[in-house]
Amino acid sequence: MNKNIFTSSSLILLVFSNLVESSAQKFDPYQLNGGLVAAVAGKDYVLIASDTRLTDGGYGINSRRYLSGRIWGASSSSWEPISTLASTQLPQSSSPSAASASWNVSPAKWESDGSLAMPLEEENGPKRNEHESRSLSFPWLHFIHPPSEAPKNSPVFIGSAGCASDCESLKRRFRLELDSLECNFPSGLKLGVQSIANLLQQVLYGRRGFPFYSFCVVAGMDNRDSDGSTGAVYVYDAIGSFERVAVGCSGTGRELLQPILDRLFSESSRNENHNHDECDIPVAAHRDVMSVPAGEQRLGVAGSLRPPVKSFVDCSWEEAVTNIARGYQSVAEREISVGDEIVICLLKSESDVNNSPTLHVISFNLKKD
Amino acid sequence: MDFKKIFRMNDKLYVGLAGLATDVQTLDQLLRFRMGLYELREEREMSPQVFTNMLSNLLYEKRFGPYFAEPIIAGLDENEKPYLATMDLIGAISKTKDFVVAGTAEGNMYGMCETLWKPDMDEEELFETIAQALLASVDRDALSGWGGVVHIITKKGVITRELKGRQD
Amino acid sequence: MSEFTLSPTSTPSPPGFSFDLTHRNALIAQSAAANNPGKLPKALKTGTTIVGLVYSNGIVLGADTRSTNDTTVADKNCDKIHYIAPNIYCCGAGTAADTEKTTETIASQMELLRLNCGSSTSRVVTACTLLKRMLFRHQGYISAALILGGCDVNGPHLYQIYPHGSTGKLPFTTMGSGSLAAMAVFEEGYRDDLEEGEAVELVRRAILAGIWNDLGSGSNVDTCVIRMDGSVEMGRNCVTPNDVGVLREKVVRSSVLDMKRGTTAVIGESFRKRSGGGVTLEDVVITEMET
Repeated sequence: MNKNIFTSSSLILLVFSNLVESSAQKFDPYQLNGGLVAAVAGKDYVLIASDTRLTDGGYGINSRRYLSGRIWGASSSSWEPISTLASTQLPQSSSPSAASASWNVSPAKWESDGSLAMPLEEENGPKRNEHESRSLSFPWLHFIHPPSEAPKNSPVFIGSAGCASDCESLKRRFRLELDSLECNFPSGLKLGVQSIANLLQQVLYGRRGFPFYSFCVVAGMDNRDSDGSTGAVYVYDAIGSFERVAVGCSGTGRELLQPILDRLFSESSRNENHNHDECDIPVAAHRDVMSVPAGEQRLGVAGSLRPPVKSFVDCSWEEAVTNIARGYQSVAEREISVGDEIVICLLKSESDVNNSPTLHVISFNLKKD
Repeated sequence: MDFKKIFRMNDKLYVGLAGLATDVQTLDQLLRFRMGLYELREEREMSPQVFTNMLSNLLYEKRFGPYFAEPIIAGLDENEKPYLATMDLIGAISKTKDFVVAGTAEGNMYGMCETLWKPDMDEEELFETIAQALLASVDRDALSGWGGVVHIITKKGVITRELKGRQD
Repeated sequence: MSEFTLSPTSTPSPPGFSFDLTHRNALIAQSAAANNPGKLPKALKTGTTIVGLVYSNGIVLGADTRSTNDTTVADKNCDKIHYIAPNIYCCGAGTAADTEKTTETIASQMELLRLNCGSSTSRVVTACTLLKRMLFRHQGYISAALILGGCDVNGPHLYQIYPHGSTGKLPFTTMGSGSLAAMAVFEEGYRDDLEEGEAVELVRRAILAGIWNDLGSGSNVDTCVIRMDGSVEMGRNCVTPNDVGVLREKVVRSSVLDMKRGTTAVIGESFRKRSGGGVTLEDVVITEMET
């Protein structure tokens, strides 16, 4: 009997010490606070989107309107946005009953640290579902470049999701790097989107040993082409490996969103003329999303090197916004940490207005459960 | 390559098993064995509902050492109405009206089906939808792919189509 | 001993859980941790809000309808209020299969008990005892957290049962991951003399608090009213605040999503006509008899 008690208690002790040991040895400083960011590059626009739910890593919701670490500006060009987005321009729903409350054009503004501030819902102010545009300004920019200087570069956005504190920290470190770079060039060095993308890679890889748990997307207008600017989107892993893509997403639920975006934004996955009798293998092989046939790929000289995938999509920005919204809705159905609202930043280059792009912030409601 | 994951149980009942290959094949054999016994004893075909419960009990018996397989049951019931159910590896049934998915590309499939599915599709439209969902999903999943197969269970019979997929 | 190799005369396999594969799975899990060849499937959990309360003339039970697999929603409209006896129902939280099968087992035991006793209704305390015995016997490895409610000759009863087998008899209770959100509503709104309408409304509010504030809970509200006169009213999906259609209608369905015939490239096609049941020679593989 005594022996029995001894063995069982020592067994319990063993189990207990094992538990203590394993929990003490396993140092896990990371937490996933949710967040799904996506970006689409178009011919003359680029858009970046994020949901606004901040989770506690488990089943709790910390915020339903969190954005400061999700989408932030990474450019210091002096740039005055012209907001001329008329309500009729917004893609309307086919069902007239739902159309009125479809889109919110948010009166968003930039915080001094580069983050996009979520507007508070004012009770007496303008209703958020009114189709209304507000001009956006970059208050922090005026210290670096006087506004009189002609705008040359458009802003670059970085979307980051993962561990919220790491994203916040990454934002600060990145902007510090950026500001120190640009301040050393008083003549006005302005980093284009590709340079921003490279810089982000360096910042992320700088923490190779103890990575920022933030999964990023970079979106901006690429001005290097002579034939006007096109949208450019880059996706990253946590330690800085990146790739230029036409549509990209990262964060929780990216495995749900990525194939949706592949499908929605690719015309080639549809094989209209195909019928079952004659099996047309070349057409079927072409089905693969954004791939560019080998003969059309630009290879060779560094700098002109382009990825073997298309770097922008063909559809209009209205379609792109709709597709993104549709994709997020589907993800929100199935992924518990995605929901509440999505915010889409749309950057459009207006060839007629002074060659400067306009920025619009559009928000859309998602499931709240 | 060309590993069979969907098994015909009877004319209007198919079961898909995703998971560990040995368990998939063992389960298929077990299910056919029990189906056969049932048909011999009862002299009638097993309905999808009964089949689902049988499989669920089969899996739950091994609650503390489960088969690594997630089944999908698709078929037509006695009234020729579509029946769709899935369960986890220990037999928690979930019946749905729209779609069920299982396997390594589960996340991708959820996203695709959630986007593509709409009610009241005819069989051709349903085929295109499920084929596109499958192909777009396995393109983004490193563990699945190399083509696909779609079975469309109708009142008249079962149409089986092999899909052309990326072979990488 | 495999099921296939059983001779017709031998006794059937013993009842209860089979541990055949436990050792093998431990080895697989070990090597999977070392080589990481993809994820092993995981059991569904119902990160849940379930509630129950006693009102003046019976019991009201409530549950949400989401079941999750990690952070993915596996079932948007599952049923978490399980049948135990005509006058007893049970809400389950925890591992989906465990709650389902545990309540099923006890329901059948209760049915047998009623047949043995020749009574038409069961007592709630009997169900509670059976459940706690079963759960205690398995040392908490069957992870079912239950709220058991029903009306019998002694009045309305509400029990909560933890996975390890401990129970409590309470006037109102909540369980699952959304239990705190739901309990906040109960603590604020519960009185001893609630009328049925008020009680149902309170339960709905409690479940909705879980649905909105707990990520593990979601979709719709299920309720179940069990009255002292023995009548039961199931309010399956009595509140559906998360209808897919409403939000989805606001976005134009892209034309890319409407499939035309022949969108997908097909390598081969075959048609298998329905045979109309029964086994024919076509279904049989004929092999030569060994002589």
